[in-house]
Amino acid sequence: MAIIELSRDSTQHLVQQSRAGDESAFAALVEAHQSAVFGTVLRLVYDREVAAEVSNRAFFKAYEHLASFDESRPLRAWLLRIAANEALNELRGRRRDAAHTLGGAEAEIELEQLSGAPDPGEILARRERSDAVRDAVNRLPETQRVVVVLRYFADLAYADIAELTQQTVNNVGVILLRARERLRRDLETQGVATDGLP
Amino acid sequence: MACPDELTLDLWLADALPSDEAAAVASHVHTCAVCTAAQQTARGLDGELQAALALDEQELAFLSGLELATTWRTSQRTAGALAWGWIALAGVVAGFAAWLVAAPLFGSVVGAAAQIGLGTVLLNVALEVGFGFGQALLEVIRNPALGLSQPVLALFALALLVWPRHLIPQRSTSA
Repeated sequence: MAIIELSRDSTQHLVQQSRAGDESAFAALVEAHQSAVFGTVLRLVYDREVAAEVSNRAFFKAYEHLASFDESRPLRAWLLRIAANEALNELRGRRRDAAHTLGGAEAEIELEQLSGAPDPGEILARRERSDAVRDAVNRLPETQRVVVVLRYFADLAYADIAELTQQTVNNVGVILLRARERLRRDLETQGVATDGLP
Repeated sequence: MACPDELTLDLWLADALPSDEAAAVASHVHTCAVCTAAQQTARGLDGELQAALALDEQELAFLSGLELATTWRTSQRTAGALAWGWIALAGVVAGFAAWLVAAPLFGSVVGAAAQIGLGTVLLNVALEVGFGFGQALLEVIRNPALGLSQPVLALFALALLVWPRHLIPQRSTSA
């Protein structure tokens, strides 16, 4: 899937057109940011169907509140803030069992083999480790999970995360340290090597 | 400068320290083997977490199929449905309020209907209509001024004669 990168000027232009009621301009913004929004929501709600629904809702909410967006700030962080809030509302509403999702590892291996990856054993090991890390992230307490996802998936700066979660930058750092420590212990319990973790 | 604590090092790596403090940490880390190793470990972890959380092929394929650029508008319909729900709720509340206001005005009628029961009232009316019609028919037939008694009796006798016999129930006999 091609990810469309928009320049600052293009983004501003599209935002202004969207504010004037041009839905196709907003569709272009959705196209450019759907991967970040959907991915952030997916990593928080851990269910693809729910993530799709929540992403739709987040984009619609963003369109409705576009007048309140400060154009001097990055649109991406603003959209992710709305998406994260919607995802958290969804989680609070459902408190669902996070066990079900994402078709098996075998299907993913087949896909990777089709794209020319060499060693199935290596792919499986890598996939299993990634799955273990994802599952461990999913088991983190909500406060830590949100910060980890916003940092390591959405790639937001500490200052943006602090603003989004209404905490200080130092607090964000502390939460991340604790989250990493918890991940390390969790992965060790699962028997997964934790070379990179503190 | 002594080795920075874990949080300071983490904030420095994330470019979240004020510039003067960041410069001091940077100059220390470049000369300290322990901090350099900690920095490399942290960067490795960042990379590992980023790789693990990135969308995989399956998820990207699923996202492509969603066509969010067009489907985000469908939330409008959900919002519309929600608005209709609120309108329905307002209607029910308004109806209840109107009932509360109107009830005293029709109190006696409502009280009688509740006591007798609406089904009883309807049955009573239907029976009255049926019996009234039958009585009126008999009176017309018996009226000597019209002289219909004899002809009607003759027609009745003829009707009995031509009545199909197979419609009269027969007593069954055993073989």
